[in-house]
Amino acid sequence: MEKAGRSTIVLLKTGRVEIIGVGYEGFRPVVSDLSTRELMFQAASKAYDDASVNPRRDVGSFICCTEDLWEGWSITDEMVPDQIGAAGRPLCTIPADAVTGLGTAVMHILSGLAEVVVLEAHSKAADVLDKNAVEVMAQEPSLLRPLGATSDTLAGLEMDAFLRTSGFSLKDVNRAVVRGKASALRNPRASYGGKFSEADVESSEILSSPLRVADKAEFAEAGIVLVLASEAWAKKNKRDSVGIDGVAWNSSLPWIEGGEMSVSGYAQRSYSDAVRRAGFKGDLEDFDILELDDTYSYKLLQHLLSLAGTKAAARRILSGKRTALNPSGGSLGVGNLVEASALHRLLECALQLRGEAGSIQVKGAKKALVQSWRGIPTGTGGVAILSR
Amino acid sequence: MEERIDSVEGIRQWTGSIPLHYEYTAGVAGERFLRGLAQGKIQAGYCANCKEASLPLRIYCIKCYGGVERSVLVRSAGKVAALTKTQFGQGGERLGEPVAFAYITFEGVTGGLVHRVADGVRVGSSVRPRFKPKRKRTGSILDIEFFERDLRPRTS
Ligand SMILES: [Zn+2]
Repeated sequence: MEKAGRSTIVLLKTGRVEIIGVGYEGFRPVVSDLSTRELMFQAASKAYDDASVNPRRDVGSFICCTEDLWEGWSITDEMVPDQIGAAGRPLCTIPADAVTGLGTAVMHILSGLAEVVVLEAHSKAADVLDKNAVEVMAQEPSLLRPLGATSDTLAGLEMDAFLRTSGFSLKDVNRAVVRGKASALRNPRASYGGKFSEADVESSEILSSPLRVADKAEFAEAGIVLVLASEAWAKKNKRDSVGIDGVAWNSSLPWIEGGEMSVSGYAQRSYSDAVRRAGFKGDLEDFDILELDDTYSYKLLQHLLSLAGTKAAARRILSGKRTALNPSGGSLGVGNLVEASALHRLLECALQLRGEAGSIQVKGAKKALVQSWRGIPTGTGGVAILSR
Repeated sequence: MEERIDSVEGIRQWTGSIPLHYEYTAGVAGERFLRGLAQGKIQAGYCANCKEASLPLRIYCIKCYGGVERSVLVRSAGKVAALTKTQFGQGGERLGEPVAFAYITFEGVTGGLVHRVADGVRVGSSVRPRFKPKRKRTGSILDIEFFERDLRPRTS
């Protein structure tokens, strides 16, 4: 069935695209002093300063990853340009995660449409009083939504199936939570770091068995902006940069419609396509850093297993001897940034490869991988490979 | 006269809502499936090209993208592939009693259904739908009240 999944988009036939600047603001459970637009303005201003670009002059295309229901504003793309310096300039919004947004940015650059592209995503999740309602609206309306299930119900079902079929146990899941929270303690961008024991996770309140409160990333708010440019532009203008070697995204059949439950087809296929495009010959263990989606604890293990190929390889990575897995603390430690979650993972890797990750710096990091997921109830995600 | 602001809360935020209601078109496959439920039947789509039955019922095959004109009656008992007990409702409210949901698959059918299940159902349990009394059915997924253990003796 997984082979029948929807098509995979593969990019980077020629040339390379570089991240020449990053900027962010927020990274708190609630950013109470800035409106959504002000949050975007602050993040964008910092990114333009970091990249030494003038958005009114140098940027050829702006891309925002945003989704109306999380904004509480329909046709919200109309409200996006001004605060990121894009008034009267080409801008498009993409209701998808930022790896898909990155792919679009790369296409704009490699097609010659623009030499410098801005990629923005943000979370103002605390503004959404009915988060459950937004999540429930994502369920198929005639066969699923009337049943009264929540996103956590569907996560509980998938987690149950994952634990039965993957060979990973609840103990492995507990450890994933403990490790995410512990890593986050050292990350200034993390809102939910903490010293947790496996027993703490074990005793956490049940949401929908076996899923517990501790298994689910709590919401946080942030604005994040990356400035991207063609390799030629970056060289000509002498910008320090991190390269994007490959990016791919994919939708597989969600398990509720017959897709697999122990692995994620979207992650597997995005990974193999991104690796091929990057011309990368090694294994997953040859990356210095992996920032994998952990919106739910078991999804981290599922995504890791999907990319590593075997349980043995996944376990070697979990042992932490060679590859740093989610040194940022992931979504479990930093917070669920909704549409900005993937851009957060890209930001963390860019900072790491620039050697600017401070107290969470992975020494000598040269190659990093980001994996994203669009969340329940989707079977959509992507992979991006970065290097320096 | 100037209005006096006596709380920072009042100026730091304002509230609003999006009151939206929809009437979703069931469509060709949806109507066929829902009419079947009203008659106490679960129907799967059958792709003649792939020679495969699948749930949910669609007018196209997701494998070969050919049209799916036939539907077949799902006669086999369901099997519980995954199980959860949910403590909270769709509005975030705590439920008085946890509600059990399962992902149910059927032999010879690709895909499956998520639905509520009765107490005592376990992963691997053989289950069958408990339909509402005929006069109370409306052509909805809720015409199935829940799935319960299938205690009928096996015929094969
Ligand atoms: Zn077919």
